[in-house]
Parts: sequence; C-alpha cells; structure tokens
Amino acid sequence: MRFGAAISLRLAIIVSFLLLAATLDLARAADSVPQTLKSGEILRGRFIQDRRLAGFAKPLRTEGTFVLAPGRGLIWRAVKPFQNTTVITPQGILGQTNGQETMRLPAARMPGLAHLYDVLGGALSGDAAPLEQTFAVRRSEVAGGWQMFLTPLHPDNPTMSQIKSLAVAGHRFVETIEVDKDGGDVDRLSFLDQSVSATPLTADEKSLLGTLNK
Amino acid sequence: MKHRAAWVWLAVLIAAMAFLALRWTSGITLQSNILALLPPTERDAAAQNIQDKIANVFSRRVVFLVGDADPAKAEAAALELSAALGHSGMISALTSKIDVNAEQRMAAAYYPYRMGLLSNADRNHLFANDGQALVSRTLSMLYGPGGFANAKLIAHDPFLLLPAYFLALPLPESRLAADNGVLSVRDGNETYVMVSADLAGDAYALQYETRFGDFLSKTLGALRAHAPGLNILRTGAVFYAHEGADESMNETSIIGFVSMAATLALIFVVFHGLRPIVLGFIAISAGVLCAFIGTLLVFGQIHTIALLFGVSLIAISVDYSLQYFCEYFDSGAPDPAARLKRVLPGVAVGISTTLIGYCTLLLAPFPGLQQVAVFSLIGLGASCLTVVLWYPALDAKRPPRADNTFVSLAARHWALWEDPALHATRVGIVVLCAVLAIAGSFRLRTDDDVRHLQSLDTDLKQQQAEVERLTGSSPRAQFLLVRGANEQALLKTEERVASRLNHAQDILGGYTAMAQFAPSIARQAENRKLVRQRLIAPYLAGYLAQIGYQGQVDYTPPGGFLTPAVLPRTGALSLLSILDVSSSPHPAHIVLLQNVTDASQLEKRVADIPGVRFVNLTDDWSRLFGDYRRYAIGLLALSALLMYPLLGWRYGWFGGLRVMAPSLVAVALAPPIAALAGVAFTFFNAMALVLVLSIGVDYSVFCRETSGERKPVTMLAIALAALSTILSFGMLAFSRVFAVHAFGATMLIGIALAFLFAPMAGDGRFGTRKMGSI
Repeated sequence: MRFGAAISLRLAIIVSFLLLAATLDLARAADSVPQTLKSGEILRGRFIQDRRLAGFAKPLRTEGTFVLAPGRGLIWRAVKPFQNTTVITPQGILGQTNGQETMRLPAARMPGLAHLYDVLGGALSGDAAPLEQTFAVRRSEVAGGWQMFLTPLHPDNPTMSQIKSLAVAGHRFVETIEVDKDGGDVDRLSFLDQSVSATPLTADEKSLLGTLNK
Repeated sequence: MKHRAAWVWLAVLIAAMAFLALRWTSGITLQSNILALLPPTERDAAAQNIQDKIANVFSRRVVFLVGDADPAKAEAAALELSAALGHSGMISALTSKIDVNAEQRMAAAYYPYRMGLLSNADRNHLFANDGQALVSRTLSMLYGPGGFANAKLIAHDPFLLLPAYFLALPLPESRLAADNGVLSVRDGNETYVMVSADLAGDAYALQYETRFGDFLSKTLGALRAHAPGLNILRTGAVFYAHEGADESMNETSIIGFVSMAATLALIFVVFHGLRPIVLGFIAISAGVLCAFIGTLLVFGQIHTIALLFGVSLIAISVDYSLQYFCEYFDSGAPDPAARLKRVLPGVAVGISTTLIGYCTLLLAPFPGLQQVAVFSLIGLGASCLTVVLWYPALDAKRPPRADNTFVSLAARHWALWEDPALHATRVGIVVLCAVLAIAGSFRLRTDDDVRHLQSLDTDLKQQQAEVERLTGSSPRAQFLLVRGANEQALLKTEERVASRLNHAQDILGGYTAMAQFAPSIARQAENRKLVRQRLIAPYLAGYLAQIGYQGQVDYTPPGGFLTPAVLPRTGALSLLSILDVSSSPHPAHIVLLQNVTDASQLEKRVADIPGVRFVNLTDDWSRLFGDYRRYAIGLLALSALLMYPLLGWRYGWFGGLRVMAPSLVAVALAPPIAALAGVAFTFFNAMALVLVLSIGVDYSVFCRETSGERKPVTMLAIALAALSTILSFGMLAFSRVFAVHAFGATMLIGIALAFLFAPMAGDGRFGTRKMGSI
C-alpha cells in the first residue's frame, strides 16, 4: 500500500528499461555493427501496451508513439483508447490529458529515479555495471535476435517491490518487454516502426521535455 | 572610623572572592544568544510562548551537505556522519536514511479514511460537478506506462483518490532527490548527500555549543582524513552561536587585556611609578569582581555581551583614580588626604552624573541592558569605594612631584579654547566639525536588521547560501499562527486560510498546514458526500464496465473521521510536530509559508480571519530593534534631563548648561561623523551615545571644578581618562561582532569629541599661570 512514491517508481522502472534496452542491443546484438545513440540522435517509434490484471475481463490495451532523446527524456504519447501524454525526464514525471496537466511529480518525490538514470546512462555508454548491480541478467541469442531475462537482485528494496521479472527481446532495437508483477499481473510492451534520426526535436517536444524545469 | 571602613571593605572583597570561587566550581551560565538580550515581545504570553517554541525548533536544526565527486563516497561519508551524530547523544532527531516503513505507516493511517480525503484539484472538480475529469484521470493512470493499479487497489479505491491526495500533500519539495534511500543533489561533478538533525541541547548555551563544536570538528576531521575530496557544508544557528561566542569570548579577553595593559602603560609613562598601576589595578579588579557576583545574583547568568560592555564600563573608574593621581603634580596638595579632598567634589559630581547615565540603562526593558547597567553600577560603585577607602592608606608617603612635560602638554588643550590668540583655530575646528557632521548626515542611515547584528562570519554565511542554493529551500521564519477553541476549530480556520492562500500564488511560493494532512471533520464529511453523490452514483458502474473489472468494490467510509492524532509523526509526517504548537490549554497550529515575496500584502489578505496572525520572526526582531533604537534615544534625552538639575544646583542654571554643552555637541556630532566611515545607526550606537553623554559630562565637570594652577593637572587627568576610554572602546570598534563594532565606533568618535570640547565648560580665564606657551 505505497502510493506516492510507488506510482512514479513503476513508471520510472519500466520506461527506463525500455530506454535501456532500446540501446543495449546496439552493443550486444551479434549481427549488427555496435552503435549507440549519439548525442543529438533521437529514437522514435510506436508502441502497444497490453496490461493484464487479475480480476479484469480483458487486457487494458494502449497504443501510441514515443520519442526518446538521450540525456533529455522520454515522451510517451497514448492515442488509443484515449489521448494521454506522459513525459519522463531526470527532473521528474509529467502527465497531460488533452493539454491539461493531470500529474506532476518532481524527482524529489521519487526515490530511485536518479539511480535508474544511472543505469540508463551507463547502458547508453556501454557500461552494464549499474544494471548488473540492480538485476541478475541472463542473456541469450535466439534465432533472429536476442533475449534478456532480468530479475531484481534485491527484491526487498521498495523500488522493486512489485516487480518479479522482466523479459526483454529484440534484434536491432528492443521489440518486446514483458513485466511480471505481483499477483499475476503482466505488462506486455511491443515496439514497432522504430528509427534513429538526427532530426532535432520539434518545438512541441522541446517544450514538453522542459515543462518539469519550470 | 575611616580605617575601620577600609578593613570592612577588605573583608567584603575577600568574601566575594570566596563566593565566586564557589560559584565557579558549580558552573556559571554564560549566554551568547543576542536575542536573549531582548525583552519579551508582547503582553500576549501565549503567543510569546509559541514564538519561543518555534524559534527554538528553528534554532535547533542543523543541516549538513556532504559532497564528493564520487556519489558512493559522499553517501558513505554522510552515513558515517549521521552514525556519529546518532551516537553522540547530542541530538534528538536525525534524518539521513529515508525511512521506508514510515511511508507504509503513513499510508496505513490514512487508508480507512480515504473516502473523505480529496486533493484540492479533485474537490474542485466535484464541486464543479465534473466527475468525468476524475474518471479520465483514473483511466489514464490505469492505462498509462508503468501503471501501479491492480485489482486490489481498484476494489478499495476505485477512482484512486487516495494516491491523488498523497501526491498533493505539501511534503518538502526541493532540489533534493530521494536516491538509494538518502536525499541527495547533484551539482556539476559533485554529489551532495544531506544529513539533517535536531539538537538535543540549547544551541545558544555555551557549554553545549562548545561540546558540539568539539565533537563536530573531531568527526569532520576524521571524515576528511579518510576522504580528502569531501566538501562538507553546514548551516544552523548553533554554528553561528558557537562562532559568535568564541569571537566575543576571545574579544572580551583580548580587549579587556589590551585595554587594561594600555591604560596601565599610560599611567606608568606619566607617573614613572608602579604605585598608581597597582592601585588602579586593585580598583578595577575590585569593581569587576563585585559586578560579576552582583549580576550573577540578580540575573542568575551573565550574557557575554553584558560582560564585554560591563568590563569596559568599569574601566571608567580609572578616570576617577586619574583625577586623584594627577594631584601628584599639584604642588598645593602635599598629602593623600589633601589630594583626595581636592578632587572629591569633581569626582562626586562626575560619579553622580555617570550613575544617572547608567541608571537610565536600567529603565530599558532589555534584560541584557539591565545586566550591563547592573554590572557597571555595582562595578563602578565598588571601584570608587576602593579608591576612597584604600587610596589614602596605601598612598601615604608619596611625595609631591614637580610638574613635568605631560602637564605642559595638557595645558595646551586649555589654551586651545582659552587663548585669545587662537580664536581663528577654534573657529576652524568648529567649522570643520560642523562640515564633517553635515556631510555625514547625508550618509546617515539606520539599520535594525537583526541578521546584521548577530554575526559577521562570512564563511558560515557562504556555506548557508550554498546549502540553500543546493537544496532549493531557504527556511525563512515566516508563518501564520492559528489559534482557536479546539483542534477542529483550528482545522476549520486553516481551511479558510488555505482557500485564501491558494489564490495568493503571486506573493507566496507555497504553504504547509495541518488541515492539509488532516482535514477538519466537517470537511471530510462534505468530501464523502461529494464523492458519493457526484462520483460514485453517476460514474462508478459505467467506469467499472469500461475497464472490465469483475470483482467486488468495497468503498464505504468508516464510522469515524481522521484526526491529527491518528497520524504517525515519523518520516515525512515528522513535519506535523512542527505545525502543532499547542501548549495546554491553548490549542495552536502554525501554517508554514514558503517564499513570501510580499509580507505586508500577505498579512493583509488573511487579516480578517479571526484567530490568525502573520508572524515573521526575523522582521519582528528587526522591528523590535528599531523600536528600541528610538527608545534608546529617549533614554538619552531622559538622562540629560535627569543630570541637569544636579548640575544646575551646583553650577547655576546657566553654568549647568555650559557643563552639559560639550557632551551634547559630542552626542549630536558623533553619529553623522561615524556615518562618514560607513557606520549605520543602530540601537547599539544609540546606547553608546548614552555613555558618551555621561562620560563627557564627567570631563566637563572636572574642567568646571578646577581652577588656576590646578587646571593643567586636571586636564592631564582628563586626557589620560579620555585616552584610556578611547583605547578600550577604540578596540571595540574593531570587534567583528556587529553590535559591539557599532557601539565601539560611536564611543570612539563621541569620546574624542567630548574631550575636544570639554575645556569650553571651564572658567575661561586663560593664563592665570603660564605653564605651556603655544
């Protein structure tokens, strides 16, 4: 029954691992030339999130697009079943529905956020140590790509309280993430149409990423 | 008869020494908090009590930021520091690790009452009959990335209102991030980890300060030895107090020593003898001894500033000794009895006016100034008694001396004011003083800011500014005091206040009130009704169908309501114990205010709510210093008025005016001339003027009482007196304690002026005996 911090934690953890994994493969994938997201490069794509909750008739499905700007943050835009935007930056998390702010969480309210940025930052620069201090990591090559299975090293740590394991699979980019949570709840994220570009952020994106600094 | 009195006096002093030795072993309380010098602010005892309590809370808090380029090192050092603090037994509360369980306890305490707890935004939506907004919000949380909701949560709080309420609570928000279970902030390459603690002792009690200071320098030294890259910032009243006390203790001993050494050296040079030195030392020591004991007996403690001023004031007794010793150079006074008889009238009038001056200090309702007054009254009395009772016996066989060069020099000062040939020079001096004073009057400004009075330690100030920058919070002592008949009344008042403050974002950064953590019962009942009628009834069924939830919903309010007593006071909620300032039978809360940009506007906006008062400790204290600065000027006028009848009785009504004129001129000119040197006019300058007046009047009285051949001798004594006063108070002007510095600078200039103009009070007959020719 942890609320305030818990909300942000889960958010931070799962999304950070999306970011992390999106770049991890660049260094790990056997058949691709190792490359990382360079400063100024931006990853864009679509996502489908299926959330299966015990006691619910059907999965809660969300579809939308995302924009990842290393060092600056992530914009997560749901389009279906309704418009909703979540912005995650080192300064905190912001939620907007139809342009109206519905949530604002400064980093001070989120234990563990900065640590996750360390994990992410390490992975971006090819340093897996922070990741391996947080999770037991099992990697394997499969036909047409790779898989990773992550289990929290310190399940007692409140940061990990609801997470049992993460399964990440991909090729050049991460393609799916499956998060097993307490009580049999499962989040399954699929990523589609991903591309890296050096096109600068749009004014709208910049303003979203900067909102938390205000 | 006289002999017996001398012996009795000796017995008294020996008894005093024995008593002091006894008291010393049982411990003597030396105060160093400048605010302890202040009077109780107002008649409202309950409000005073609360303010004291809050001031106490603020003064006990210490904050450290432990920084290092390596976050792990910073964290390790911070944990080591907090462990050392925890084991020291000198603190009562410590925050370094974030208490994870505290959050669970907090959630558990709130959980049963969740239906009546609404964030402001949610409540406003329901008031506007916009339940749909809450449904949309819940959906976006359910569907959003990393959703935390599950079936259990939906069953007990289908619209996730409690998490929304938690998020809206005004828990401390700052640049600090909760990381790895500690609060930290990154600045450039450095990572700072915060350790904060509440002291178990009084930050202003000298013994505690010293113990804590020693402990800390040892601990920090060990930490730095271990990790040389550490950058440890600290802030807290105790550090300022420690620095201030160290400073004034050192200064007391240095100023006291130099003042006495210089005075004694002066006497030695002039008199070529040890006896005046020994006698002078005995007189001052007897004075300080009696004063110390007397003050202890009256007040139970001594403030370091009272000690500093008091010792300097007793040194005035040297003035009277000097009158006596300079009679050595007077051929008309062959033996001690004759010498004493000659100076006695002047000394008696001088002491009387000085005592009047010091007595007016007693009228100031400042406990600290009363200490100064009592200290100097007793000290001065004891010193003078020593002179009168002992000098004739101890000084029996001193042969009269021929006049020497110092006497001729002193004669020149008379000539300056009496020689008709020097008229132009006199006019020049007067014009110069007037020009300086007029020029200075343009730069004259008053300064009552209490923050300027406490300490000038720039290193601590820099550290404090750095800590405030890094944490993004500056604890200003500004708050609303809320009083009422009972706790529920307080909460209701706070809810009224909150509705005003919510619309005061133009002048207010934020606020923290108990009612935000525990709404009034009336508010909770209203919230429950809003939720039932405007959220559950119209939306629940449709919403559950939309998300496909198939379980039961258990969302019914309990019989009772949440009250502050239910909430734990740990973790983030430890804040609540600051907010509750009730002292039975007076229920009271404070509403903490953050970043008030316009205090008077804020005060106005809540002025009409009964039971609410805006309190600004810093401003209140500053206002008080302003009031008492004006008060001191009143005291000055009063002591002049009180002296005048005595002087008028002795010298005639016009003569009395003439005797007072030089000091009045000094009093009028000293502040603007000091302003030329950048000295602002504070309460302490005003107090210095009270003393300039009484000491200056002494000089004029001596000048008025002497005549003929004795004039140069008297002037020598006055010159030595003025010199020794300037030596001691001139030293005070170099003090780094702002108050003492202001006092010293005014004394320096005022006494110099009083001495310069003193001969104007004389008989004006020049050249009765040509001693020094110009």
